[in-house]
Amino acid sequence: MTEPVGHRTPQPAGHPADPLAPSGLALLLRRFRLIRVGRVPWIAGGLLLLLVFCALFADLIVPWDPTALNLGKALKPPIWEDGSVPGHVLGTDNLGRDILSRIIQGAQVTLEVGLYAIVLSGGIGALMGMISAYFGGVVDAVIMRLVDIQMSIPSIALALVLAAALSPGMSTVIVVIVLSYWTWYARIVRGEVLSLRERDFVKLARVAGCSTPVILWRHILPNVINTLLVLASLQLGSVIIFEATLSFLGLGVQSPDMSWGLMLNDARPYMTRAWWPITLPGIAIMIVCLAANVFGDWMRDTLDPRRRQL
Amino acid sequence: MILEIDNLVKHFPVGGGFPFGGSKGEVKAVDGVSFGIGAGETFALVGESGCGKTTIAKLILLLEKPTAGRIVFDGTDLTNLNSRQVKEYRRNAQAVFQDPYSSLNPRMKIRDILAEPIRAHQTMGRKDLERRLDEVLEIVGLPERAKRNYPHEFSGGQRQRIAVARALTLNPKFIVLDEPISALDVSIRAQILNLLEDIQKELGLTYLIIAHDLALVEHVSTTVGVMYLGNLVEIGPTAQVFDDPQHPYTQALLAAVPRPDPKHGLSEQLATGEIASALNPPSGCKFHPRCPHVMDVCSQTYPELRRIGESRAAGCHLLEEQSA
Repeated sequence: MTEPVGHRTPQPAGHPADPLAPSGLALLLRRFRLIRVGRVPWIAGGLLLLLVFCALFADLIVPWDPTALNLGKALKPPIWEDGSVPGHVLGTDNLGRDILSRIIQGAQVTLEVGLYAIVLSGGIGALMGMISAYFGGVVDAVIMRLVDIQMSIPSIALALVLAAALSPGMSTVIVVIVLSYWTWYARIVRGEVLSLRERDFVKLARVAGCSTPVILWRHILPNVINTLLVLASLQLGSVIIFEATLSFLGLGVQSPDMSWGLMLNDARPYMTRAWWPITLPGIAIMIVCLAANVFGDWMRDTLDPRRRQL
Repeated sequence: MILEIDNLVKHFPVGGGFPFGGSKGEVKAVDGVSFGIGAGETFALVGESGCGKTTIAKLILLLEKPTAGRIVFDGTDLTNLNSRQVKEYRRNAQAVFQDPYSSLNPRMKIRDILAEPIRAHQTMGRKDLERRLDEVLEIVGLPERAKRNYPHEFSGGQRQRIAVARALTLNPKFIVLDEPISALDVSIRAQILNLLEDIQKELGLTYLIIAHDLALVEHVSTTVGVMYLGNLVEIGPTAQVFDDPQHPYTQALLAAVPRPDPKHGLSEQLATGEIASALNPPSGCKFHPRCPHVMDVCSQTYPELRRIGESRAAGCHLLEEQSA
């Protein structure tokens, strides 16, 4: 190996290596990096936009009616495999329904559940967190003990009970997700507000004569909104998985409505004979979660003023 | 007297929250303080950190509820107001705080920051509002275009000017200045001080200045109150107190001020040791463990404030001996 060219003087023998010098692995990664890190959030954002597009225009872009049965074409593989049927790009499931169409249609449920659940749990959680921190004392203690209780209940068990009590379906899924996720927002927002409350501009707003709702709305909320957005985008991924889990267990979305988790459940008995009906929706779930997480990480880094100033 | 404080007490419970664990004790932040501020006066409260001066400011601004005692502003007792009366009081009493980086909401434009007190109290036409904002900006020496900017676009001194302008928007009679210059660069402290003095003369304001900087207090205040561990130990006209301090603590504070004179050595008057804990203050006179003139009586009985001359008072057993 040749000596590196540079202005750094060679290390004398026996001297410990410069700890700041890039390690061999880092150099290797730098040389063979296929995707520039700076582009990753754009790819993630693009994938999320694609999801939104599919959900909004599902009825217009599906190549086949996603609910149309055709037992003659059951379990046909994707077009790049032998025995495929023309037109069914990703093959068909056990009832001969087009998998691509079902994935596109399923994006609707995924996004709908994700958005409702995030907005509702974020809204309720943020409100509870703000009230808890701003008023303190007994109010704080009661809300935080509620959070503790809620966090100690396994969400799958809660889903079983609610599915039995309410009847399984999309709204039940949303209720379960909101019940299990608002606690995160409440805790994090509470922490932020506790520190904001001690800032002088909040005290001065009170001295100026602002009422409590005005202070919460104008001074507290704008300063926690970044945190809320980041948390929401990071939770989108886990909410989608949770919805798929509930639907897979039969506690969530019911046929003939479709969701990716339900597709996994439908395909499970035929798993040994046909890999595509269970793998392809799984990949869809994975891609969307990954995109949501990457996008959330990027938002956190971009919106954090401490990082922005660097 | 525009503001009268009568035997004000504020104790903070420490430790233990609902529902687990009881209170472990109380911090006696303010432990029976009385003084009055005349209209147009500049009253300074001085003392080491932790002596309760900022707590008094918060009590006067109704940011905390007093444990006991009365605060009377312009004839109305502030400790028992309904929300409408509180609002009326806030119209007359405003504040400027120490840290200009924390006192302006980073997400609001200067226009909204300045307009906030007005909007909280009255509906004002857009033109009148803009005119009022321009007026206060002119008073503090900032250009009108500053309204369009965000706080982070200004320096510390400019931010403090904005904070002062905001305190002026409602035309108050009384402003609490909590360490108004101690967070600023030395080079701009004088500017802000002069500005505050000019504003006071022009608008006939009454100031309560909270400070630990004795040079500042000597320069700006007409009356000074020296606090130690939640009590007022000496009070009187600033010139007299600085010329002839009566309480050993005041003497120690003044002796600790650095002087630009190489021959001036450290005085024997200096207090030794640390300020005691307000959670468990010493018995009798709270200053006795640090006092160079400590006597037996000091650890047993609390020395009440004694009148000295016409307008001064100090709380020390030494003064009783002298007069006896």
